[in-house]
Amino acid sequence: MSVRSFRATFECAVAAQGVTTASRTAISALRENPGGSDRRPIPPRFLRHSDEQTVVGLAAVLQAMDEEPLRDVCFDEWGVVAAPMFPGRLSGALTFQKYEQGGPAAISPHIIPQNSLHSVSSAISISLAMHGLNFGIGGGPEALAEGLTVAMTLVDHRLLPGLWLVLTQWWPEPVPDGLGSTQTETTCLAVALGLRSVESGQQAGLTLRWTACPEADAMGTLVRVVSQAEERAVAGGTQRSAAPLADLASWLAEGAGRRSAPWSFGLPWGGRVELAQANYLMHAKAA
Amino acid sequence: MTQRVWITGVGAATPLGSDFATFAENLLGGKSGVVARSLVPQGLGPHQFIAAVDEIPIPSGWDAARFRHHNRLEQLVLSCTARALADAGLDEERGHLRIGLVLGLGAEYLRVWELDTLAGGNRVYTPDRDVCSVVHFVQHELGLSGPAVSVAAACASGGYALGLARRWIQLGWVDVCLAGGCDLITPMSYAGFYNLRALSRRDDSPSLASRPFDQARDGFVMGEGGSVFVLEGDAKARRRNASCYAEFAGFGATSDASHMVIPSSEPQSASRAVRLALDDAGANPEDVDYVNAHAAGTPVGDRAEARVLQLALGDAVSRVPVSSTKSMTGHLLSGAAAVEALACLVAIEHQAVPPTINLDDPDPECDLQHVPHHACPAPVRVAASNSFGFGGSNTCLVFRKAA
Repeated sequence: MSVRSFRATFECAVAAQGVTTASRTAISALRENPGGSDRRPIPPRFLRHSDEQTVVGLAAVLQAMDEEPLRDVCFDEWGVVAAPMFPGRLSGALTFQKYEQGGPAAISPHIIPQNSLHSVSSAISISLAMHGLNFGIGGGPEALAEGLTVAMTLVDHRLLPGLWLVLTQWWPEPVPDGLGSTQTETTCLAVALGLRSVESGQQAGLTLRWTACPEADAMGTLVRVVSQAEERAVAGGTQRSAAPLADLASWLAEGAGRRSAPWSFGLPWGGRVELAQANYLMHAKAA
Repeated sequence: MTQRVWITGVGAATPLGSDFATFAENLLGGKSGVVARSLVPQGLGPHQFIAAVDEIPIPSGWDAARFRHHNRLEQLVLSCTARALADAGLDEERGHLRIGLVLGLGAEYLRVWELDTLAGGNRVYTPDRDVCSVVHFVQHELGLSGPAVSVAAACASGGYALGLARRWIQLGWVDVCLAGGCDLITPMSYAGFYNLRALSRRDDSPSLASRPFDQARDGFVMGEGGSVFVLEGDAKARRRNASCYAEFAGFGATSDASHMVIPSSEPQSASRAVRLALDDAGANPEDVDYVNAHAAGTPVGDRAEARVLQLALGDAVSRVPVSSTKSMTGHLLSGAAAVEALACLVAIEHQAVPPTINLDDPDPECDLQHVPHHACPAPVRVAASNSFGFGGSNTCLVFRKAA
């Protein structure tokens, strides 16, 4: 049975983290100045055509890069993976309107490079001059689960000195107005985690860990076939994996001294991801 | 020791055919898959040159009406994935295995929303309808139990999908992994690339429009389709005596960190991806018997890749045959890396290097060992495939003939 050969845990260190939440108005300001210290100047107007999730994602990474553990780190060979949820909805709706009214000549050449699934990671890689791998993950309702899964399997000091995992989404998901914006009361949220392998010697406070479900192991099966989103769709519900990213952002914002328990998230294909103070997980292991 | 990974199944839908034998025959026969179509109704001339997939094959045992009920992107991905699984002989076993799924799908929701809009729908305005992405739809339809993810690096999407799937097998994360990339041509994606001035504007003959490395190239021709592969670790493949197309021996990936659209004129980053892939495969430049180039037929990109290969292969560049099969398939965008991986398997299987058709007058700034017009019989033990995408993504895949 496959379970016997299945690796039971993955673990990596979270060297730094950043959280950005921005309204539509705030995003306009972030386009001009996404923040961060002067050591990483963003080229003027670089974000002019960027998707909103790119703007907040970059701002979250810049915030994390200024944290103490990373202040003197060279990021030249770091990688970046980004898991946005429904990138390009607002600009896509505008594009479809323009096509209907003005034909193919009205289609912006920026829509594909700037509003696709790869766009968030690419813009961060370029703006911060990082030459490690970069790609987008997810794009749909399971983006958070997909992003965590992929990032955890890539963190390896033999492959990369470090990896940025950037998780973004609108909450709630906006209804486009067809003009490139929305009337929905919504905010764009980004969490950036700077990940390094535990072997790299990074002893920062947080550890990200995936474990198989013990009860599932005992049953000889680790996974559910149907994803959480699909289950909810079948049940007629529409609340998807939206809250977990907001929960993660809140948990990170609480600060080390006030976190009473790990942040925990069940993956649709089995097992759980936990984010916790490193000493919490050490105690849990010992117990 | 790192486990070796084998390709034991293939499912494809390409402008050159949708089964391995037909694709191989047309590829080695130097056939162009480019045709003239009235894709965009007004504004870009009477017709457009594209490399299309006319009919997406229905997997064996599937109800035709139910299959055709799904949107065209879902049909394409489901067709390639289900037929790959069947080709590997794992159709019956799938319920007992932890099978992962990694698909390169670059602009999934833009495509899905556009298809829906063109059909009179309003899905882009109805977020509650976006409850299941294509990769999870396919996972559910096939009853797969492992992790399932979409990845995107524009034209390098399939390269990342394959590289990630190989890593999952080596980590013991899955027993078997399906991986590949697919894409569709839609009117608005065509218009976007046209307005970006990335497409060839030739209007003489469709089959002459895609001409990588040629002096007269003026942009790429859009193609559609894709390919999905079954990846298995050495132990499992041996245990069930699986038939193998080739070993997926090496993977390398880097970023230019230069520009959202234009490839870097400096070859260091992309050539490092090639060297990482060769190192991962335990191969030297002298070991490489064929390079399937990314070369799409853009003036800037082809020259940049020539410099990349010159730097990565060193002295061996004067000996290693290089071709761009996009001259026949067009540029399949998110599906390109996977279909070009398939071309490498053809080269290994048939011991012949596919040609670059329309290469009448090679650009002197693309000084490589070209294979113009006709396939060339040659021993192909190690084949490498480059894919470079918007956003500066560079991937290289290395395949090795099974002993």
